Amino acid sequence: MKPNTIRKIFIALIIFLPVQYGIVGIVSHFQSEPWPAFVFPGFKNVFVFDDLFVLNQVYFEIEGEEVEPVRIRPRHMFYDMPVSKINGFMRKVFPDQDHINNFDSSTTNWLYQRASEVTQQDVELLNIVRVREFTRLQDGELKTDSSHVDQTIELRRLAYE
Amino acid sequence: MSNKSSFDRWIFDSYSPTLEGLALYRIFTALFFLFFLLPDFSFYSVLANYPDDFFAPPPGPMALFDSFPPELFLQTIHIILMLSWAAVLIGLKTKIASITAGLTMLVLLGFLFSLGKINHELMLVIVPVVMAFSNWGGAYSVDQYTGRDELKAEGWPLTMLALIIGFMMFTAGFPKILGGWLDFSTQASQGHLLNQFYVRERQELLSVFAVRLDSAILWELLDWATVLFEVLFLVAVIKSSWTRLFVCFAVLFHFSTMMTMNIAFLPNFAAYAAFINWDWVYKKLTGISEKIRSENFVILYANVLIVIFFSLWILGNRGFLLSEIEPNFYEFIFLSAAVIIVLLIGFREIRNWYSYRRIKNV
Repeated sequence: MKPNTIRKIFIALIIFLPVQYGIVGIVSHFQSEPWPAFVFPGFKNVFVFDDLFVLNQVYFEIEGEEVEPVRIRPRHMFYDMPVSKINGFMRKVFPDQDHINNFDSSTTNWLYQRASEVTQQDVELLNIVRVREFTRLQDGELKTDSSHVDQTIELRRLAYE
Repeated sequence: MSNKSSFDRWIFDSYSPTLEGLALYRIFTALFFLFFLLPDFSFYSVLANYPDDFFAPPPGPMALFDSFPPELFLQTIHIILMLSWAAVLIGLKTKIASITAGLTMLVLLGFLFSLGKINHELMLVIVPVVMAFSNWGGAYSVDQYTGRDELKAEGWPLTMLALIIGFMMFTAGFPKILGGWLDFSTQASQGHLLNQFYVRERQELLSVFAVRLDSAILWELLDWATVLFEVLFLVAVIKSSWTRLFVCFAVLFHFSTMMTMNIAFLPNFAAYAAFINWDWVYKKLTGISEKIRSENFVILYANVLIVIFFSLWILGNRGFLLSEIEPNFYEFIFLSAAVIIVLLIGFREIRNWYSYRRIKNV
């Protein structure tokens, strides 16, 4: 490659990188982070609120006919998915009730079957619960100061309704 | 006196690799990819069996699809990817093979990231595509024996790689400033650690110890160090010595992140390895004995790497000492080895500096 071509490629890259970063910022604001993009994860959140550490927990709440409701973490529900993908997957695929209501019945059935497989029991009701815990470190232990359910999403088994 | 502009000197003279050094890096990188950095082949069947509603592509070309493609399609792309890296390893049509390796990885990552989570592993694409233009297949390769023209080692792809890493590091640091990482009332690193530990259950290595470490000053220092390191990396790409220093910082940063938050981020290490002085490694390797031909040393080097990587791959995937998920045994070994190399380089630099001072004083 000729030096002049290389020089032009560098100039184009120096202009392109910040421009694409700006576009990433705009698209992320209105939708979600685009791909591919020349960016590393920002980890912008500080998870601190009024001197307390915030933990954003997500659970699948499973109710069976004869047993008490149990909560299992997404990583156990999606045991075949890389751990690094789970949080983003939960955020994007299960964002709110409206989105879930548009699921195909085969998807809901798949989720019920998976819940049944994981808990080894018949599942009557399956919910996604998002809990925000406010915690503090005391003597090396994390103590929960308060917690509240941020969101409950009901996964209705449409095929049986 | 050279009449080159400083911009030209930065592009063309920052790095002066040799074909031999690039060949060692090529062999290392090809094996590193083949053993550790390719997507999990078995995951394609998992992906193909997920409901279509799980297909959540990010904005971009993947949004043109409605669902995950058939398993066979992904497996075919994966096989092309493997063959491309095998071709890079032996230096067969190296430039085309490197670009193919990058593009096929781009396609696979696109589908893997369509589960609603982007893993920021673009280095797996950038490294082979950029290094394709360095002529890293110019020595100890099939191309060397079959090519008509003698290839020249190019340094500018390393400058370009440094620029891209520096910029991407900046994109990691800048949002942290906006998010409040530098606010003395927040200890963001600690907040992230607690979330990784209690929410994502990443509880290996020193994470238990780190969780109990309740020193606001220390965590705030880590917040500042993280932001400064990530933002200033972009400035460091101006000089090759600064870039190498920041690559060393990056190794220490990733090692500490692995030990505390169990995030190893191995894909970046293929890029960091480009900044090792491979020419020095080549001279050391071939300088062991003058009786043995350099080709034989390189073959030995490749075989030793294969044995080491294969052993680590077996142990890592069988959950030796650590879990078979993240961080597994081979990630721990690679990052630890990288830290040892960085410390040795640091020790050598300090010793050289001390000797220089002594001579100067005398």
